[in-house]
Amino acid sequence: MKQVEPNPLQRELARGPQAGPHPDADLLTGFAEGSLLEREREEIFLHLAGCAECRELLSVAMGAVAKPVDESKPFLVARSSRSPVRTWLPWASVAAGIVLVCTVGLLYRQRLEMQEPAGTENTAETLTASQPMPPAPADRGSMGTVSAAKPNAGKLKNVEPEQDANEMTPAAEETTDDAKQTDASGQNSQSEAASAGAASDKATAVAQAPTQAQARSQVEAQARPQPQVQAKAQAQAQFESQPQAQAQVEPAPAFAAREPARALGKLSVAAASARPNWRIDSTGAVERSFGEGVWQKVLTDEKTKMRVVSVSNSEVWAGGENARLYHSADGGDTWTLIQLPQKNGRDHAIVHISFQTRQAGVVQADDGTSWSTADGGVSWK
Amino acid sequence: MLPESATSAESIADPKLGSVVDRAIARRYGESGGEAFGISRERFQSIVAAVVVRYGAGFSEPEKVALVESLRVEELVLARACSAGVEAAWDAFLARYRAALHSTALRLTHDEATARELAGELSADLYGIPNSEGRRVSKLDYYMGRGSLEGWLRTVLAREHIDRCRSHRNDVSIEEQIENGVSFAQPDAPLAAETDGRVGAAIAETLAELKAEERFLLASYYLDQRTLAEIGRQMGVHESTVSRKLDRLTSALRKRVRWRLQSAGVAARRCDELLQDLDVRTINVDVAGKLKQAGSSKQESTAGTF
Repeated sequence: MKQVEPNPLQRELARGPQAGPHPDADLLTGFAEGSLLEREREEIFLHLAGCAECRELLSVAMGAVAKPVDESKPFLVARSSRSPVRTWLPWASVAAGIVLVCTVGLLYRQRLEMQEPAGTENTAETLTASQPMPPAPADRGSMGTVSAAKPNAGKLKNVEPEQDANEMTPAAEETTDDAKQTDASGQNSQSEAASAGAASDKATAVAQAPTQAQARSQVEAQARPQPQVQAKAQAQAQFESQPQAQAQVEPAPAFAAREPARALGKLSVAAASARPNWRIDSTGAVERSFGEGVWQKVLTDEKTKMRVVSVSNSEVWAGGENARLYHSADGGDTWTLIQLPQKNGRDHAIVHISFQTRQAGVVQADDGTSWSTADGGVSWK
Repeated sequence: MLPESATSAESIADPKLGSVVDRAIARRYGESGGEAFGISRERFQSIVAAVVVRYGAGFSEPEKVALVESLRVEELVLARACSAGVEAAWDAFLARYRAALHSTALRLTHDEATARELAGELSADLYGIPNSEGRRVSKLDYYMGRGSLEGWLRTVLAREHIDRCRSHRNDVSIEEQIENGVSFAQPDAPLAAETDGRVGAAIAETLAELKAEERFLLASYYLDQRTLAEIGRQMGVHESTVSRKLDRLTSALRKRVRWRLQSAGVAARRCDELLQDLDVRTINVDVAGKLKQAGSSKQESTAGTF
């Protein structure tokens, strides 16, 4: 038996005034359902305060009420009373967040595309074996020419865009005379062949940089009324030697003013389609693509395994085993076999090509042997 | 045609309630649906007048009108028609309340067999048991329409259930009591003497000032150990409302008791010590024993009306 612990409040509550006659079932039911008059309700409260028996009866009876009617009602009311704003506000926030992220992403991507030309104008592209390489504007070399490709090697189906690109490139050629040309080693040509597709996209974007920059400057110049004259003058100065090309690329002023972005997009597409990507396949053959996934081999007569390709504008250098070094000044249409002076035998492979300028460059073999030129590859030491 | 079995409540009804109340009763005849069960306008007037006489003694005329307007006349007429033996009324009653009766009994007993038995017994009482004169007397005659008929049936079932539990508790054999170890149980220990009589006096004075509703709240929560949800169901409010009321009430109670103690010359620190145990929910209290004591004493002094 529990030991009673006295408590003043409980003791006084139990000692409360004696309740009167018990209310009948009707009154208790009416009390619980709130259908009694106020004075009746007060009387029932008074009785219940002093009658534990009726409190127990009321509690047992109300405990038998079906719960969905009694207990879930406040919950349902609370749920249904939520304002419509509170209902859709969280979802709207999520949607706004998604839109914001997408917008920032697009802007960031656009900015990258805008910045890439400026960053690569003075930097030659570096691709290792099996990586597609973007082309560069044509720059005719002066060395003895050895045609390493078949007659149709340079006649790809994107001839017209290529022509457009070449016509636009002289300005870039002027600005990239001091360009730093680097190369990439082809040590892992076999394994890197698998990543050629992914690399080609990036290389393409980078390779488009000079022409894109020119096209953008032209279109922006045409789109803005005031700077239009200045930009046009600059473009005319740059393209002085290629007036026809400028005439072809430059849209009509009225059109450019109305839809500069669309015009810029067209130019970018046209320029991009004219720029080949470069790679060295698993057999060591140098390949060129103008897009659409069609790769065509260049240097088809060369049986030696190529290890590295270096591209800067239209200058393309390819090196491979047996110290084989080729140079193309026209974006791969024609090739010149460079005779490197003998050093430590003939069995080393060229794995690294780096040109600080168009004239000064270094070629390095896998055994550390290197050759340098200061006259664009005419002489090596 | 109704039989002659008028209830005792109706037989003592005073038909002279006043023109205003009579008009209020007459207005409600249309919504009672009495015609469907063969209850005439005059009969309806008599039934409702009996309810007003029973509960409205001492009421003003507007209060009587309000009482008439608060009645569940449709269910009241149905109950009277059932007790009168109208078949259509019984059909309607069984269709509406048979399932509810059984489900309520099941929620009370938590046992299918017991629930069936409880509901069956009540159904027999509702149908009517012949009295010494051979006239059938239905328990539905006691329904007065103050609350819903379903709620009334629930309360009646709850009372039957409590009575059955109490009666069955006395059926425990001596062997079972010995097995359970209650045969030689000590009698309930008397309430310990108060450490300070001034506290009890201060609390008693403060409780006497409270409203009936506040005393009911305190008794249900501190004495009966009911949950907030249970109290809320009894009062027809949400448990959060009960919680807020209890918080305000206990806070005010403490202040008043403390003020009374200090007025009686008790030091502030001593007041804090004495009021430390005011929240009895945290103390192990034999509430059942105290309720039993209070119940037995009241049962002798009061007589139920049902």
